[in-house]
Amino acid sequence: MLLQQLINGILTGSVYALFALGFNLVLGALNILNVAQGAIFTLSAFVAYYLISVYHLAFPFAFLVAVLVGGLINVALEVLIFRPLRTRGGTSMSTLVASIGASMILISIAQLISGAQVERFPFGTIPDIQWNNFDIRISFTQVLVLSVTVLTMAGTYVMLNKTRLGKAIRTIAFSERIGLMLGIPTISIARWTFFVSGALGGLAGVLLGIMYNSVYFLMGEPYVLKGFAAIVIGGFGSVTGVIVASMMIGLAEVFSTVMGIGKFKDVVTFGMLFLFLLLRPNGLFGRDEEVRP
Amino acid sequence: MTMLDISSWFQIYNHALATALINSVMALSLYFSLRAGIFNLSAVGFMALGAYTSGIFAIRLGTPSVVGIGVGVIISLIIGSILVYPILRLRGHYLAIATLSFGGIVQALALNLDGLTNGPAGLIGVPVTVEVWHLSIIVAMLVYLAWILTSSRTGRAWDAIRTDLSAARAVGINVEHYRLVSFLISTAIAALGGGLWAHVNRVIVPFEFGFPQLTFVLVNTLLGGISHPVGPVIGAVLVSTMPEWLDKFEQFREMIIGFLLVAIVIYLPNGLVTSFSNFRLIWTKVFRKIETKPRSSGNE
Amino acid sequence: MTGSISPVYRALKLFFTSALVSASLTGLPNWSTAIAEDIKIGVPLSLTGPIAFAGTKMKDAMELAFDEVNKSGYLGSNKLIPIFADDRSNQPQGISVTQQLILRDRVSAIVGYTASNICQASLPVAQELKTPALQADCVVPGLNKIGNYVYSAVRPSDAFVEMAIDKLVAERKIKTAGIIFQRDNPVFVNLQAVVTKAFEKNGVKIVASEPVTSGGDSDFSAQLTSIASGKPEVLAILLIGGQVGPAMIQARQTGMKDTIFLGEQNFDSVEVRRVAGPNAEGSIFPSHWFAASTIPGNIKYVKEYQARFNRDPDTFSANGYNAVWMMAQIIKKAGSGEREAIRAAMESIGEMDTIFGSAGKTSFKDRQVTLTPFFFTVKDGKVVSAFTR
Repeated sequence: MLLQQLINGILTGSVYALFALGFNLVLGALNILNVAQGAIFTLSAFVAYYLISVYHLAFPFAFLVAVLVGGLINVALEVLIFRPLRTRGGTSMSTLVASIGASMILISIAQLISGAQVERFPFGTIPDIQWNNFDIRISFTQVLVLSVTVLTMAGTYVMLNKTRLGKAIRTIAFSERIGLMLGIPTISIARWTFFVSGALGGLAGVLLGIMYNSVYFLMGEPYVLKGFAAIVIGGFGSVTGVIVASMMIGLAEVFSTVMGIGKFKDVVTFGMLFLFLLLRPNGLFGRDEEVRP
Repeated sequence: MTMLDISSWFQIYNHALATALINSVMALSLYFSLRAGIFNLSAVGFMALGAYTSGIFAIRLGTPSVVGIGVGVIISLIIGSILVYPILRLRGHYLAIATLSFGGIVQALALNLDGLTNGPAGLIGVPVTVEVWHLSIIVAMLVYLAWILTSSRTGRAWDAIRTDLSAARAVGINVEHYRLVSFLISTAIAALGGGLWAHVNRVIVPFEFGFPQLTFVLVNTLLGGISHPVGPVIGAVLVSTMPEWLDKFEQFREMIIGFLLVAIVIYLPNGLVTSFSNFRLIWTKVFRKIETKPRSSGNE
Repeated sequence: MTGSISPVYRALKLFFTSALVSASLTGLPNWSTAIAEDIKIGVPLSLTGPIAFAGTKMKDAMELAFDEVNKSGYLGSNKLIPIFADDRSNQPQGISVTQQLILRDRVSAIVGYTASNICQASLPVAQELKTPALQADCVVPGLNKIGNYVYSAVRPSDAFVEMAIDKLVAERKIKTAGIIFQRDNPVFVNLQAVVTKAFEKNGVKIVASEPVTSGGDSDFSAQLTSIASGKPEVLAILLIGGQVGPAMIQARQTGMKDTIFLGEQNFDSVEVRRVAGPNAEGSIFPSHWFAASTIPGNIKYVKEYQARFNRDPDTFSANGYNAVWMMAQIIKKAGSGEREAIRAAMESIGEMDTIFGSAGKTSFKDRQVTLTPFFFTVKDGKVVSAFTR
């Protein structure tokens, strides 16, 4: 049973990691805490659901479209909300409030189109195969989720470190002024960052939707909080940190259940978050940057 | 309108008014923090603490409401003082996340400590002892307090800290002290709001102290703006009565609040109250045009 | 600075300004004179917010019921005028709309409410303001103790689930059971205690009892893996409708292939069966109503509902519809739209028609309806009667 729970924990942690990666990207590069990431997570899942169940699109295509839509919505937010705010001198406080507003708008859209019902993908969207060996069960869906997660994380790492776009993003993250001096088109890089971040969030949403087979307008809420925890524990701006932290959170939650304190799992997550903020606000892998006023 | 009409109006909208006034109290709590530039999202967490404490005292110990509410405020101040040191060392996003997770912990504990809070079923039967006139007086007093503090040296220190923290420190202002004061005042007022809420709404469940309620407090405070203590109250009253004039668009309420938040933050960063005084300034200039001309004609 | 005007004056100015602003925004009391034959009924429901999925269903069915009452001339020349109000799934608003319905709109009675905690907060207000109230959808225990103006048209499903467990253990000789329940909902927390006691009373060992922290969760893998390791013969799934389906699927995936799922009323819904599909096979649940019930009143209801809304009715709709018709019967007995008369009628009315239960008749006992439940199981995808006795 323990081995099975370990797998559960890893799977849960992977989805958290995918979500938090996008979250952390925008935070690290542009210093914007985009709470609307949760709404994008949800909306992409809905897009995939409607494409498959109403328009009968094959899963791989629906998946791709949903991810793209996630990225595009995030870019729309940048253009309509965050950029105007930036030009009018927004503080980190006001960007957070603006993202909360954006999140509310997007989630109510999801609520209105879904009529607050829980939807599920039609049977057979993903082949229902299971493997039972060594006392553990793992399904095709779970393997799919795991592989996509690993690939995406690897891909993100490569993108950030080996491509020009990635290097531009990292430069701006370090200092926008230096980026400008180097002739980097900061506005379009910002938009690309939002796009990737939204795509990652959307990816996480679709995966979650197919893994537990339910799509619901409030499905993103818990992820935003876990995302906060992952960012703080993993370290602001660090890709490895966020992945490790998300895994830790996923495993901690699963093992709270194993230890019989399942009902306190949220308290455990928040508690860890708090402890880190108190003792090591830079997180595990964070840059040694100014966290204090 | 006869006196009878007015008194029935007050009777009918009794609870709606009470709610609007309690929302004003919560908005004022946030006001004190924002004034000092602290992005303190713990208001709802302390509200829950205040509400549950007064509920427990009223139901389990049978004490008069004032006692329960008072103890709620004291407990919150104690917890607030413990938290304030680690929290105020953080900045910007980290501060927001820390205070937000405090609220989350309080809600999760309220949900799970069944022995104390009765879990999801909540505390039922809290006596309804707080009336609209109590609340009006409390809100008026809080606005007065806010006005006094804001125009005093404390207020000026807050303005300096809010504008540029390092500069304020450089000029010799005891930044830590003033931030501490502002945080603790916010805490106390939020707990007071919670205690009052409990004695108006008679049932306390963890469900009522979550993130949606926090966004509501944010909108209230930001709509009115923090340039004047009256701002949060006006914001709270306007948003609380919103359902009445939204009517058919009820289902879009969340969306509208979201739009309001975005619009305020981008286009009305100082909230409505300042905009009105700007408006008055412009109006005055237009209609008193003559007086702005220099009196050089010599016909006094 | 801003110091020239006295702060006291400011505060007074502020208070009266806000009062005036609120007054103009909220409008004056509804002085419109109603025709003598009209009886106004307040209907507070959760039409927006997280509970809206239930409240909107109730509203649809209740509109149908009001139309039926009026068109059929059931109350002679008197018409029932429903005044719907939205409590937005939150308590303070529930209390506010209750006050407004009673004081501003001068309703003769209240029928409605969707969520338990809103019932708990708002019904005492109706009691204090001496207005008869018939609550339609709250199943948390204790509501019938609020006062002599407050009656319930549904009852907690505690007793039904207990009966289901008694019968199940007797018939299938169950030895082990597991429970998964929603922790942030008082109805399910209460049911968990009831189910635990019922199992233990019948000598069944509970291998695990796992909480789900929120109604928005869809990941039960940790809890179900834990439960599955104990190999229970029965799994009590005490979750909200939207979670029941995924829970069944995930339970089967963790290896509980032959485990019997036990639930409450919400197992009976097209949504659950659609979502869970073959995984729901063999589950058992008590119900006070089901769509295929052969009571004439119900057959008529289902037909009208399908004709009007183009879909099958569910439990929430049934609760709403039933409550309106009960109120109509009460008012007929009262013979007038006076609140006192209605209250007296609620107290003295004997047998009433209902679409619930197997007999189609019910009465109030202890200010709550009496009901004999059905027990159902899912066989070959269809809902059929569960036990031989």
